Amino acid sequence: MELLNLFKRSVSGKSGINELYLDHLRYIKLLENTRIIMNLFGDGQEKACGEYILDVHYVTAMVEETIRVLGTLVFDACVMRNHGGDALFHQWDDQKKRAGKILLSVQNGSWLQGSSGNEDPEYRLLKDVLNWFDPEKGDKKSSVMGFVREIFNHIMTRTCTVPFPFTDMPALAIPCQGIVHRIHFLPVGDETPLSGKSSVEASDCRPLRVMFRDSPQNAITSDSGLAHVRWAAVMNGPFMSLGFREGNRILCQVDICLSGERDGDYVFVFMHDRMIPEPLIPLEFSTSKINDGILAWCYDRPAAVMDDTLALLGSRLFSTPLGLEQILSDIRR
Amino acid sequence: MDMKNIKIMVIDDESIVGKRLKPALEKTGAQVETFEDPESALAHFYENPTDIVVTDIRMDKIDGIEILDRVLAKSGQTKVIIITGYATVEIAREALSKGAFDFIAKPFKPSDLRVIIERAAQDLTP
Repeated sequence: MELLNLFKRSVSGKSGINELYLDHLRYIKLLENTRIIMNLFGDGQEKACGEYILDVHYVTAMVEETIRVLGTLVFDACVMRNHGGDALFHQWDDQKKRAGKILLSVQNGSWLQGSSGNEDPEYRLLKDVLNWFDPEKGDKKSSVMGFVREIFNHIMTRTCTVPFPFTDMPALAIPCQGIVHRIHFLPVGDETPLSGKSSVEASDCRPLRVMFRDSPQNAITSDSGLAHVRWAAVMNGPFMSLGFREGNRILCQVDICLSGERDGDYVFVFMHDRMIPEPLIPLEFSTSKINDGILAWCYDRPAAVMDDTLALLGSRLFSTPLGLEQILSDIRR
Repeated sequence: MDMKNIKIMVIDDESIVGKRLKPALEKTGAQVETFEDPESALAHFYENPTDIVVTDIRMDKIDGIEILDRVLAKSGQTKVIIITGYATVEIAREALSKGAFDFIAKPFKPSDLRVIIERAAQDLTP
């Protein structure tokens, strides 16, 4: 579903819900742009193996697209967290300078000099660009991928001033070792997120059905005497976003797109260090450490693998204590 | 038609293309000539028409569409395969409507082009 159509969908008149919904949409867009950067890097690495016929336009187009998408990422990140963005803009300027040097070398022909042996200058230039991407090949922060990590460092520490979540919303309750995960669903459009005991299986939202496919228990329950961990979820066509906060701070966020299209589907996870993440993340995920936690992502897999991976993540996430008792205790304090 | 009897002309002003394609296409058994200058290529073609012409679409002096027009005007039997770049797929579609046999987008593997060339060779009348 096009993002523009998602924007057109109405949400509840509550301004707080609107704010959460817009945050959800901005984050989807940010993830899609991040994926473009990762695809550019991956495609370049494949081409650099030497089996391809490519020309210098392929490399310059890659550089230009990278700068364009990085600019969009920076802008969206600064909208999502509206303070402290100056450093990102400075770093983006540095990235533009780096890209500008590469493009200038093509314009003035200097890229053709210095070729050695059998290496074609196009391949040498491509390797230079890939070195700019790769945090392992130079200064980690000045690389493109290092900069993307900085952008996530920025947005994952954004705070949410909206009272969170809204306890009068429909909720899914999952008892788990002395606590209850209560997942509150934001109303979007005409959909009633959950309306009965069999709602998860009957839901139109595929990410929801798949994520709780293997969960030991999922039922709509009334409040019990157990401590509650309150999650907020947005189901939106093929997308689902699920988040848990401690006060204003994000502790866990899972964003999913399951459309059945391999090129578009992903599961993206942020887990704060307090959530003891390592045993939770299935092996299919790639991970990267950022300041306060880890990012984990899974994409470009067959639909069946995506389903199994998401079901495994859901089952682990909602059947593991996650250090939540301590967190709940801190929240009460 | 037997590939050993096929003559292929490759025209691309990026030297890497001819340099890498020549040995890769010669593996099919065909005879391959490469040109970086499209004017020289056309002059050579008028004297010695080839069965297949593989041409880049974006070149400074003469673009691939003009190459296509002139080649087909000289030899309607010749199969013309267009190499497109990043932003020229629309132009490649135009080329197909003007009689190009097929097109391939850069970056590509030589083996992908070989498949198209073998298909073009089968389409040639002996």
